Amino acid sequence: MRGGTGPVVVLAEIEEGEKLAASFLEALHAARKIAEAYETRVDALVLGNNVEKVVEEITYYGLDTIYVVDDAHLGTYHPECYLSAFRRACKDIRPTAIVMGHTLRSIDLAPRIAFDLDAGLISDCTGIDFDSDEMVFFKPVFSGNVVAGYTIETRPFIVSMRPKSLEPVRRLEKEQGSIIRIPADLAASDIRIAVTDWVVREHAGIKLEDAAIIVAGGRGMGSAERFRELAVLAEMLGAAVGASRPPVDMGWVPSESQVGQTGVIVAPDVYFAIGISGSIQHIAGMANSRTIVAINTDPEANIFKIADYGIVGSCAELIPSLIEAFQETVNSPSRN
Amino acid sequence: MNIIVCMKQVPDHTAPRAAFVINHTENKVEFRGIQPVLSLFDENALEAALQIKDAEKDNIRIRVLSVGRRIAKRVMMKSLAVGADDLVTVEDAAFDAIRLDSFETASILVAAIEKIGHWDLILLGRQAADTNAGQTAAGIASKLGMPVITLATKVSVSQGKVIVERLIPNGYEIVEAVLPAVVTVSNEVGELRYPTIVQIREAKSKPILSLGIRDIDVHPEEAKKVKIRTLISPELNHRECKYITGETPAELGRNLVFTLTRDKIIG
Repeated sequence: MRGGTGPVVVLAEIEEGEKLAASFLEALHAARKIAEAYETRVDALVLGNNVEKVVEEITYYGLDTIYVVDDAHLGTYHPECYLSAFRRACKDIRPTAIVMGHTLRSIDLAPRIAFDLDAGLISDCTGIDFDSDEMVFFKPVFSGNVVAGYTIETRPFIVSMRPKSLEPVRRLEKEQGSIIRIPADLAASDIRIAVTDWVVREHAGIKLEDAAIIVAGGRGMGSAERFRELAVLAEMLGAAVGASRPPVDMGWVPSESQVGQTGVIVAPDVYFAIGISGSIQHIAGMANSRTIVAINTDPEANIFKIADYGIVGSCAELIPSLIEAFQETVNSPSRN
Repeated sequence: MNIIVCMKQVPDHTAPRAAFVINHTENKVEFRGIQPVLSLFDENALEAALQIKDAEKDNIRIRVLSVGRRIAKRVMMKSLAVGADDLVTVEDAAFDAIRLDSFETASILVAAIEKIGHWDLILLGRQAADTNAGQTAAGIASKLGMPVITLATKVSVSQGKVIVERLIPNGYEIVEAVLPAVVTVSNEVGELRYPTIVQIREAKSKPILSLGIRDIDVHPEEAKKVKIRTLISPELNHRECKYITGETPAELGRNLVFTLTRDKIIG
């Protein structure tokens, strides 16, 4: 099935109230591929409150039209308000396809839109390709043991792109694109869930997404106490602390530390995997790291297959000795 | 109060890659000697249900619903042993996990839920371990006209409402909805508890209702939106691991730091 004449619309996600999320630029890359194949244009849709700064920033990415729904009820993410505003905007935009980054927000929003518009959705795509008249959307299934290529039968259709799967598009020198405002027209009858409170943790140290070095611990760490030692090592290296899934389940670290298919996807210069066996879900989140250093007591652990450097040994003994060894390097006058 | 937990059986993700064989002629995946297991996030969903039961004691009835091509009862017994009250399975040869899209899966689950009746809260894992689609809950909620709350890290009920701590970047938000409602559960809820020997024995006498596609009113293929075009076996990017040696942990640590510095991996 070829596309309609409607645009491919990219949903712009806003972070911390005013920043354009990095996932938008990768989603835009995917949208351009889809638009080229179906011979249509790429537009953006911004939902939020007081979004002028973000809208201005988006004008530097060569889009035809930027649709803006600016409403006091869209200042923070509320699933049903966003769905309601999105549905209203789609009536005007009549898109062929809807593209967004696969983020915590779109994990909630994309399926709601899919069932509301009766539109097929492929979530967490890692690649797209045009093959004999049809776009094919690829994603890992069976924990990454198989990659499936899907076609979607509906117009519009929806895709969410896994972070860091495509290059972000480049910012242009000059502004472009007309801005069209659409009212939110929120209906009280759409709103059935109430957000009563927020608990946002102040993030100590460097964020995983921004870190050049990550030191990550797994089940083999054995305790929250050992993660505090790991944080000491991280601070010495200017690194962020990450984790595989078990330490999050165990409550040793907060959930934003989780690296992997359902956590953060990272690709730092150096990734230390300490006490991490290397489940396929974890590897999906860090395999593109430039250098991987693995420490594990089990010489057969999967992590060694994708590591550049390995030590077979216990993290209880090696974390303190690494702290000491790095300390010596720092203190050594003959360093280089 | 009645809680339905939707649980799916998936091939054990820890199986070696060679065990997942692609049949290109029929465009499907065959599993060689892989044991089925409960999808991990669905185990978290059951744990969330049990935590509600722990808090509310006698008034909570937990029913596990599983839909699939072939459901191994012995795998499902775990859910009864840890504290679910009964089990409903719906089996059909056409219920191939990855060939069904989320719209078909949702329509089958909705038909089964309507068939068995009586629900206040429906819990699912945030996404299935095989397809990772994460869409079914929104479909069930939409078709049954209920609110849905996703990515729960904690679930409780009080005065006819479900109260959820929901994952957001760097923290959580507290969200509530009037029952009946659908909630998807994330791993922060905690791993599914282990049964005691007594519970394992008692599970054998808990009721199991086995249904087929004819027992529920559904034509999933009419809902289909997404098709599999191709299946590929990805290559794991193997790297040549240089093992660091040393007699003591202190020496291992020094040798690693020396090697990483020498190779200009760290400055």
